[in-house]
Amino acid sequence: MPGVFERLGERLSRRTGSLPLLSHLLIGSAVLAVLVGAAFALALLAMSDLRSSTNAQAHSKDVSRATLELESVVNQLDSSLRGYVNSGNPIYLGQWRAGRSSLPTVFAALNKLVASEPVQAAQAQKLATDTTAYVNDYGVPLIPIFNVNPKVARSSDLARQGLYYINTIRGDLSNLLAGEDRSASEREAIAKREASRAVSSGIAALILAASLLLLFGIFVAHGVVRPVRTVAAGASRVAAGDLSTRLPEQGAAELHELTEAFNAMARSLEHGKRELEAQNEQLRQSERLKSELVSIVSHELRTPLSGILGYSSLLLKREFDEEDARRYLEVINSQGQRLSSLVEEFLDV
Amino acid sequence: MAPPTILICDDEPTLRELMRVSLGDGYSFAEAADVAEAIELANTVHPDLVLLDVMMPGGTGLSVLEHLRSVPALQDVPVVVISAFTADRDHLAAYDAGANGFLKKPFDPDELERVVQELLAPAGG
Repeated sequence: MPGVFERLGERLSRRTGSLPLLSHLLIGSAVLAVLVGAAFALALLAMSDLRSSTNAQAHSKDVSRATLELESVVNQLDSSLRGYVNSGNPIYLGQWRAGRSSLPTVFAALNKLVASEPVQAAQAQKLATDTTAYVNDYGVPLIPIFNVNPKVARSSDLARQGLYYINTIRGDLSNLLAGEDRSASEREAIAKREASRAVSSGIAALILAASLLLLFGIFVAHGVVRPVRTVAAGASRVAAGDLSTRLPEQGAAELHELTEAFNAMARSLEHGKRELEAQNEQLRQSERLKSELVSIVSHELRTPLSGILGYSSLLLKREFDEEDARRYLEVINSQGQRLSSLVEEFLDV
Repeated sequence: MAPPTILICDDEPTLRELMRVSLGDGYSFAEAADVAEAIELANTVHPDLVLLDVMMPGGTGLSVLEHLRSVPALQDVPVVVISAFTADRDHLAAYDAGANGFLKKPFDPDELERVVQELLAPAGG
């Protein structure tokens, strides 16, 4: 795997080699920021869709509750009306009236809940019409009929007519509940689909961002860390005295400048070292020549000086006959002349 | 008893005479003015002591010294190097080559006499 990353990093570095390193880092950071932002946006969208789905479910429950409440009131009306007609007990009449009086409130609540949904609103409207027809066209006339002639009120014809009204209302209630269930299911399915798509998109964006982050890391490692290490190793070699060290001048603009500057520095140091060595050699040669010159001059001066000092010393310390003494004085004189000539020659030089 | 023979090697005649005069009449002398002559006389004369200049025609006195030290019959002959090259390194080079004494030019005649006498004195005497 390191080999794969290495080749990938080298390819990335080569492709982006001419751009400045700062641009690489800025572009890479910007792309990563956009991708991470997109991933979070998709995640937020998914959460929003889920919230919408939850709200839709709550709304469906409210509609169902209002419909069931209406069904309960309708049952109360039906049972209280039939109870009164069968028994004549005024308690049932009170229940009938209570049921009637609660109808407007129940319908108002239901209408409000379904106002934004045309199909359900139409169904609620039909329910209200059928319920009103049951109350006004059947229930309300039946009570005075019972009061006048209970037998007629209890006839099977009127009972069937009432049952017809009630069944119609129950049919309406079932339709409304079924429609609301269907609508809620559709909304939930859509919300789930969108949420799932948003989650998938978010995961894809996160994977993409992570992959780009990995590539970015590989690029930084190859585009920055490795060249810096190469320069550091080169600097160590130069510090150790290997002034012939040169680095390949490649990579991003800043690194290219760095290696160029390094090579220029190494060349300058090498050139300076060569010049110093040449100067040292010249100095050594000059010193050697000077030393040889001093030695030769010294030798040339000491030879006549030996004659002068030696013979004068002998003349001062020992006895010689006149002829020898004169000859030694002549030697001293001639060596003195020689010494004088030498000194003049040296001074001329 | 024959006087000791001293071989004087120096290209300057006046200095050869100065050495001779400094040492006096108690010696017989042989004189060489260059390296070849010095080696030839050493081989033929078999001197008892050699006074040797360093800078001579045909080479250096040290090559004469090396020859003396390589010949069995001459390797024990005392040699005094007398040189105008007076640096420490010249001094050391002479002793390294086998010299028994070293005098700097200009030399003191009395010191030359003393050194020669010391080197020619019988052992223990």
